[in-house]
Amino acid sequence: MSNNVGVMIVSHSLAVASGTAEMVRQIGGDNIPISFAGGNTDGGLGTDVEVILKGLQEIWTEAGIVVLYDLGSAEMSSEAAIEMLPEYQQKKIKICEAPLVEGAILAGVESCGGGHLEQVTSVAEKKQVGIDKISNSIESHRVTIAHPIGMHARPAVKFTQLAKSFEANVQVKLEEQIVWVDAKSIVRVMGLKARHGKVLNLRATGCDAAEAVKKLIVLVDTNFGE
Amino acid sequence: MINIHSMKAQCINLLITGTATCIEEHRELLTELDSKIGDADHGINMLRGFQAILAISPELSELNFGEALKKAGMTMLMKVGGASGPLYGSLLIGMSKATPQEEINLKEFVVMLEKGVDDVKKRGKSDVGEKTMLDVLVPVSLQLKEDANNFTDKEQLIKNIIQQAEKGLEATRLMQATKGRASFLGERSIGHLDPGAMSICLLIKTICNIINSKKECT
Repeated sequence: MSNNVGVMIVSHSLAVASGTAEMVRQIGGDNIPISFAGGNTDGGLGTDVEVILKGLQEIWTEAGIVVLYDLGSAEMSSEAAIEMLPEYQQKKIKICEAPLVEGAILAGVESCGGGHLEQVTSVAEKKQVGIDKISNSIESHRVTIAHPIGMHARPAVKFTQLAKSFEANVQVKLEEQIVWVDAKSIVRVMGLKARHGKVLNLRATGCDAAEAVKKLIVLVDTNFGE
Repeated sequence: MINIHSMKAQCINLLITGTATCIEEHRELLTELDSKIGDADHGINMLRGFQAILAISPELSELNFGEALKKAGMTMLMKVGGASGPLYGSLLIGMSKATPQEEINLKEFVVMLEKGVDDVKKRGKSDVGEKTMLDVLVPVSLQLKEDANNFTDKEQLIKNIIQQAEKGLEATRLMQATKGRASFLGERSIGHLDPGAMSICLLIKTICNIINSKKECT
């Protein structure tokens, strides 16, 4: 087996999991350690921690593994399976926040090209960004989320609606993350999972950029008017 | 104060049989609730998990309480196949981490439950107000702590717990789901009870009734 980053695919459906793995294999052949888990213990739709665990063990190398999953419980089951592995392995297994098929293929391409774990993860997740580039030289602003529950559904709607009221291209991220996302996209903003106490970074370009950033910071500072 | 000291093999057996029967009896209800806002598998998934626990009940009842909880949690984690597996698994395994070796008094049980609830929050990256089992678990855990501190008598304590569980469950009706498959529905998730809150509420009531009525579990 190669020493490239492994790709673990976890879906509720065995057909989806094996089909996605097949698509990744088409790209990288044996150059990508790949395994998949789909369906529950009865063979129905669901997830099976044991199969995920076995898959991770099977494709483990020092290069690490990225996990691509489809829906909620696939993420939780993957986390549970990872926690059953030795700690040094846990640190090198990353669950990607990416669409399953696209993410797996991007991860496969990067892995095949010899990318290291962080690169494979970010490339798989980059697919989600899909917004106009803003130069890193644009000033970034900080605001801390004081809302007790964080930016859950309702606040995220308010946040994105306000962002959309400006011409400016506005991006947001958690301070601890690298990838900026479109502040006008509800899916992206909710995807930040920005909880209470987290620091948001905001940046914008365009004619009303300064105003957009100012108003968004006020919205977060005033607990989204709640 | 509840004396959980004598929770031994018979009690473990009673709890397993009682909870498994409870899930069996309410399987349709859980599935129906889940079909409104989720993927309609909560009834069958819970049944699969509890049947797997029931199948190893003789083995579990030989263990001490902490080991039994851990093994039951691992069984849920491994067998359920849906979100409730890792979540119920985290609850039971979390509780097992704080379980004393031999006897359990009420204050120790409070700590166990707190640890279990904490682990559910971590696993689900969630908290109260998101239309989940936590909307039942958190108020129940707080109530239990308060009653333990106040030395509330057993009958009143059980009444208080059941009341909090039912209140927590009912509160999920008006919440908008922000976690799990139900969150895809957005505002349309409002108006339905959460199936996970329902299953944990039913289980808490079952356990309360066992503790209240069976001498083995007093």
